[in-house]
Amino acid sequence: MSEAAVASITDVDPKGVMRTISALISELGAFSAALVLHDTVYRLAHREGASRLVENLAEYFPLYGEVAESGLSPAEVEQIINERIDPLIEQLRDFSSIVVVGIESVILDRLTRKLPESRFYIIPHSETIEEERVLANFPPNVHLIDVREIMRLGGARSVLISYAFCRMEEDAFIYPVTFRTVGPDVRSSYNRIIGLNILSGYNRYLGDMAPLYSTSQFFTNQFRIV
Amino acid sequence: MIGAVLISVMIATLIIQALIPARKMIVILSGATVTMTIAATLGNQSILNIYNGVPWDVLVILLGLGTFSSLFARSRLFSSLAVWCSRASQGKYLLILIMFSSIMFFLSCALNNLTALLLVLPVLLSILKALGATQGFVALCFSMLIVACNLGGAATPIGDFPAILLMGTGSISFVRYLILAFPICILLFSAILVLPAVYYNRKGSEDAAPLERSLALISMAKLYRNVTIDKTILYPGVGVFCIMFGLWIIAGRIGLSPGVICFLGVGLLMVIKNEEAEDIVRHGIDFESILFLTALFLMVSCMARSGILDYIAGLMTVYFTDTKMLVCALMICCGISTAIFSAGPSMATMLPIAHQVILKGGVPGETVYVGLALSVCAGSSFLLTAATAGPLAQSIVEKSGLTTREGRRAKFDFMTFLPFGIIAYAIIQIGGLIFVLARI
Repeated sequence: MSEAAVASITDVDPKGVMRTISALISELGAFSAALVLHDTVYRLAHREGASRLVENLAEYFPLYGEVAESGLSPAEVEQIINERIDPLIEQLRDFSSIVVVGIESVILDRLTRKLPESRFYIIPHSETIEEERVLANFPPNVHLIDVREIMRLGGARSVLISYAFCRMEEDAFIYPVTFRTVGPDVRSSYNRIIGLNILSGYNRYLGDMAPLYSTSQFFTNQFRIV
Repeated sequence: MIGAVLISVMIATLIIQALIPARKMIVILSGATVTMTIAATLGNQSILNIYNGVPWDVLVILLGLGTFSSLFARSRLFSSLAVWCSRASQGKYLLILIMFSSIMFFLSCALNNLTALLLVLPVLLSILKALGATQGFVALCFSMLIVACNLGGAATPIGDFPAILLMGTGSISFVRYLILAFPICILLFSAILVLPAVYYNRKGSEDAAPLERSLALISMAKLYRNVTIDKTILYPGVGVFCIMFGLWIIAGRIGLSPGVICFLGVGLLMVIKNEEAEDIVRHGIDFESILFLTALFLMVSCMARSGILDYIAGLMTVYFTDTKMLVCALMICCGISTAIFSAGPSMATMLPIAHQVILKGGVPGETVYVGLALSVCAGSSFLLTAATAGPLAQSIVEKSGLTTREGRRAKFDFMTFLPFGIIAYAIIQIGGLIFVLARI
């Protein structure tokens, strides 16, 4: 692809791109949105375009920068997720209530369909979502809840899941709403608190997320997804 | 004298409810109570006769069509159509304008405007948010949607209240209205659609960058990735609707009123989809509008029996000796009163006057009635507050938090709509006048 052609695609106002994908970040999840962005740039401008856009966009969307620099193509990422999610599904079969903090559609779309007997309660990580639209994409066993409802859903057959991005030893990044859901009162109410590790290590500070130190103190179990 | 009092009460009621929309129900119900009290006590009208003057068929049809709209909404038909439009538009602004306006026009032909708007607008807003539109385009696009709603509603006898009133009162048959109104409405819609297209092209506005357009399209696909049409609701709904449509066409021959046909259709649907129908009847029907119109009809019934409307019609035939001028005056009055008071009050009041004008003036009734419906459509398209769709669209845009490319909050309000409204009113009113004058 010619230099000019690549430039015509990637020389964009980063704010314009962020405006375009803001609904995706809110309703699909930051990681899922980063995959969509990576896939789209890949298709339009290939590897040269992706690396050029990372330079422009990483300041506004650091997770996209991490996804692009992971060296994995979007198809490879999806394949890895599909393979690694099966052990998680087996672990979750014993639980009737699964509370998920944050939306990552690339994981939840498969999880919710593979566990039709379980009830999923999702706490959105963003306030600017269209609830009806989000729910319409999931099967009927999925509900959206507010973080204040988290205590009433605890129990011996309840598990809480959240995401840990770019984990490096004991440090990781999480959705800010996760902090409000993993206090000692919540940990004692749920059978397990599971962390899904997405990407490992980081080259840049994920400014749109919250840093979490001593990750293993938060989660009773952790699964590496990507 | 009683007639003058009744009409004063009605005008006062309509003005107050237009000025204080937050209290419109209490105003209209109070107005109806006062009117009926005056008519019964001072005008010696029997309450039973007043009730008999209400076109109950019309209310039944509105109720029935509202049920169908709610049912189709649950099937996710509207949002699926809107998502298809976004995809087909390829993220190009002009195509978005044309496709969404066209979808609104055709949906409004058969179903409740407000339900269609409630379900199509969020999809349109999503794609505009993703692409980043200019303020000018936002104003143009939403203005065109409102007018498309109004024209679609006027195009068929079941599209909107004025047409339903005409059919429900037996003023014109289902088939005749469709034959007369649909072609002219399509023509007017096309004429109005050409204007923003030409204006937009002349301005030389650019579409979004290729990456942003691709991202916007893929965003829409992902945001609605698992949203599919619920065929278990759609197919029975379409089936029953088609049966009703067929029966309306032959209503005169089989001796069934349009209201009874609607009743039968809704009844059949409730049997087939009883769970959804039960929920819709309990939670999804706009009883507020039905109550509003009932109060309005009661007031009109009182006025009609007092003879004041005959008197007004008589005055008009005396003042306008030329038949064509008379009909034009009637239509223009109807359009202006719709812009001020909205379609319901305007049509409900003007229709009895039109009956008398047709009788006294010896003019072809069907043509005048369709002309009246077009004038109401013109009036509804004049001001944003003239039709319920306008404030609804304004509210949805405000709540969506849509921002323009320039980073400012997008506006769609009374003043933004006004320039487009003036042009739309002129085109539809003039089109209606030409239609009528060519046939008289």
